[in-house]
Amino acid sequence: MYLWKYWRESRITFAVGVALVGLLLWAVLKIHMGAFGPGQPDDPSQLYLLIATPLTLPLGFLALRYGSFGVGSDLGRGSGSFLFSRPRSRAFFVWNDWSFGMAQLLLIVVAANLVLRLAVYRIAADSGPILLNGGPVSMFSIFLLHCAAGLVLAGLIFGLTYFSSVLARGHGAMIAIGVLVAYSIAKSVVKHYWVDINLPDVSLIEFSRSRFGIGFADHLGLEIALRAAVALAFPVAAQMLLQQRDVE
Amino acid sequence: MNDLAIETHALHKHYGDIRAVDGLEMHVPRGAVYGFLGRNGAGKTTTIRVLTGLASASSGDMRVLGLDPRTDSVEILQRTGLVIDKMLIPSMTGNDLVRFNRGFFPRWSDSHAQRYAEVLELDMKRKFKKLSTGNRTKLCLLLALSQGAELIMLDEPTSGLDPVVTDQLLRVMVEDFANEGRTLFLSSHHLSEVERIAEWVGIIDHGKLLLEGRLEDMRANFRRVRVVGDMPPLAEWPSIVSTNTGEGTTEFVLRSDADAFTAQIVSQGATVLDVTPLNLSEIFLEVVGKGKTHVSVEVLA
Repeated sequence: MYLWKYWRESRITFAVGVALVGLLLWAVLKIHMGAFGPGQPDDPSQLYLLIATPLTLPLGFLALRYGSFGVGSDLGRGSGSFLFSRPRSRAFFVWNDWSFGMAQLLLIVVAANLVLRLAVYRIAADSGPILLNGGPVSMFSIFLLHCAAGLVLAGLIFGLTYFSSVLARGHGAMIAIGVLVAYSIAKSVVKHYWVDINLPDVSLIEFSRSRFGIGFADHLGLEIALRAAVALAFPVAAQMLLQQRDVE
Repeated sequence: MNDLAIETHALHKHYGDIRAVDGLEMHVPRGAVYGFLGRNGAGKTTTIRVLTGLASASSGDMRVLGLDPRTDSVEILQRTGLVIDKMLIPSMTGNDLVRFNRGFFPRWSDSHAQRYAEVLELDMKRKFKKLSTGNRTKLCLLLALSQGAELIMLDEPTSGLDPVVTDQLLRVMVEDFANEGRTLFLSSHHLSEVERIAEWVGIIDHGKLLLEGRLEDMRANFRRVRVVGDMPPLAEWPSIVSTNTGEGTTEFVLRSDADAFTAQIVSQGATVLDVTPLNLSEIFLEVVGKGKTHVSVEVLA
């Protein structure tokens, strides 16, 4: 029954998200198919990267929206006492919010990458495996990588926003945007003064670059696992915060 | 089984230097209609929050339906209907809220919900955010009363309601709930409403329970005694609640033993002008210190 409430709150975002990602995919494919020309793939791996990168923006936006639903919004609008006087533990509410939000984001990420995969396949059907760092990698591996990277990105932003919403009783999206902007600035400053130091990127670009041999990060699995752990730390922190705090 | 629905011992809840609940000793019998009275900021809402696990106690012991809210809040909430902030999920209609609530309570009654909606004249198809204050309160009560709870805790249930709606609500609460042997605990500062339905009363001020007992006993024992003449020293008389000295007369409010008191002062040469009973409103004003000379009152019974 609680999931029904979450679905009621998030269904418009879900529909908008699907439409937004679909529209963006269509627009980007239109542009790049024109640039590369059907049947004349310049480099399918580059094509995948070029098309996947713009998806970061709507995905980030959706993750911000999803993080604003659930317990944090109830605390913000004054219905927290009603919600938490339902006979369930506070952990129940947090993990239901988190699971259902992540499930919807997963659907969007996988659907978007499936469309992307099919489009790239149509453009570069006979190009075969891609050579990465001297070895062949199937397009399916790249599809999985992009799904994982997209999900981790969405999970990080979703978790951060969710935790911020609980912490500040609503207004989580504004705090999360502030944190993300501050981190981007810090990353640029560090890069400017200490060229050898690269703070991890939250977006999927870095994963793609590393897999394509353009950038760095040889330990892709570890990189994803670390980000996933950080993403998971946010709902854990939200739960702990709620268990410590009085509901006003 | 313990015969108390709610029991607290030396219960404290502090917010920094503010002692919202300060050593509360409360005993709510099972099956009683208990009026929890206090001024604004006396600690009523905080007490309810602590008892239902919405807020943590700073120290002290408490039992609700024989369970400890610190460790068993989920079970307590399953057996308790709570109306506290009167803010539900704004985008849901009454019917949506019934649907949402139903899944949480195994003893939920749709027929009760339907009946309360009719009795209280509630438009269940309207979104909560579009309801008036009175209708919001009614919907909160409908949800709490329909869940089949053993204990209902209501915080200021009639605030913001007109007299007609207040009357409807009080009737529903007494006829459909209290008469079934379940416990009704309502906090309020609307004394006349509490006086209509409560069997037991607790008066809280500055986080302390100043008086607790059967309303019937309070009415039978509280007396105002007006006296003229030379007054003997009476500071030691244990049942004096307040003393008010005017032009040639002294007025005492006693919580018990008025006959013994008058006999004592008459024997010492004073003249008793009259001895009058107090209603709940007068008792409340005396106990929370509106009398000129306030003396702490012990818990009755």
